[in-house]
Amino acid sequence: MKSVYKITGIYLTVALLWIFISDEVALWMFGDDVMNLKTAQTYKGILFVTITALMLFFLLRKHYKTLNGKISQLEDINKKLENSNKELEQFAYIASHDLQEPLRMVSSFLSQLENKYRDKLDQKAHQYIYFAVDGAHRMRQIIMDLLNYSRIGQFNNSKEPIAIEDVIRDFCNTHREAIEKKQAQFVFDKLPVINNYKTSVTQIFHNLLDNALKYSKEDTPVLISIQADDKDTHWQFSITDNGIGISEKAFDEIFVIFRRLHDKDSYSGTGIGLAIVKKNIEKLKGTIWVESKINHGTTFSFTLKK
Amino acid sequence: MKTAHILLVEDNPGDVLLTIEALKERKFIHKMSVAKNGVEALDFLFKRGEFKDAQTPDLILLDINLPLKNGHEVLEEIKASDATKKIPVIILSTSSNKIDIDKAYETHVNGFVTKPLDIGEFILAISKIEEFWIQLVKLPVNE
Repeated sequence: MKSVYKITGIYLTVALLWIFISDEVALWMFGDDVMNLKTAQTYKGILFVTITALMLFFLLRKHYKTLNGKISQLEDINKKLENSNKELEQFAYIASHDLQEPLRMVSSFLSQLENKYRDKLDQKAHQYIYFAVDGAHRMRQIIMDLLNYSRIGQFNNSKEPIAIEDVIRDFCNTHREAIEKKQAQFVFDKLPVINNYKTSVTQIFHNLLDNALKYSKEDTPVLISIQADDKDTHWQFSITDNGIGISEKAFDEIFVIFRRLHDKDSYSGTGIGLAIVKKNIEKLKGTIWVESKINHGTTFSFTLKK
Repeated sequence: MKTAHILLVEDNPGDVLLTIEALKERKFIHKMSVAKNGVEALDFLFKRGEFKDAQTPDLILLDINLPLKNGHEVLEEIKASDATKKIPVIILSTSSNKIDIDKAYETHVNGFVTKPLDIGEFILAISKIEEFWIQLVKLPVNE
């Protein structure tokens, strides 16, 4: 933009100077001879218009050359993006089928080996099989998680009205056992009905509620509160728990795919939940942030455009 | 208890073995024929070439991802022919893809079962298919 001001400035200065100086020169050359003065003015005008037209021509030509270059560059990038999207879809398919097939064979026949030769195998052999099966199961979970993660934001269905209370009720129904075991309570005032993509919104809420339920303190009944604030252009939701909390250092880390802060034995899972939440929210052009205090609890807040 | 003749169309020998073992868990001895690809399955059903003496099966378990002709194509030909359209066809596939499922039912599949990844659940699924389609259901009588 700077060069635009510069060029216009130089043009104005030169043009104004030309008008005044050339007028003075013409007056000095032809004095009172009005006819000659008029002819001189005409030629002066023609010369000025020709020079500026030439300048305009070269400027525009240069401008369009760079513009066209940029456009074809963008087209190239677009094509590459389309290709990589297609490759990703293909990868998702390979992951879902071609990778899972052999893995299913590995875990199935290891399990058969264990079941049918139980008496013939010693303790150590059982342990080997256990770790092999466990590895295969974890790999399968990672493949499925990756597949789900890569599918986020495809929006195959259109937006629809979603009652957030229903989303929470669905979660409670599918997690009844854990909820009873942890004596979990869900607290919320009236929650809105929003118009959005159901799969995405469900994934966001269910994963956050799952985390709130999972990372709880031992021997303390779980208390999860859900809040919704109407911010005119968007909704702001907060999910607060009274769990073990997250140290501030880890605030960014928790959203990274397959990053886990705890060992597998303390808390299960591959470490994809919050990555799924974040990708969903970003695809819906919202933001997510976290506030937490170790041993006191965590609040995840996020926005969803109306 | 009834026994039946099952045609299993499956290209993966591991899956063939697992299906046979799963059926054995139910302690019923069924007659089992195996076709390794779509073309072989259709040759078997239409008694062509080396299968000219083949017996019409009572039930077909069909995979989708098959070489030469896939499960959808095989299903289409089975349901298009008067000689074979009565035979119940159960698709047994790793796919849980909506497009696959819709397409199969549009071609009049009798059931679509996604192969469970867990061996215990796989055996359970096979025995449920056996229990329903062979023990409970009255199958058409093959002449």
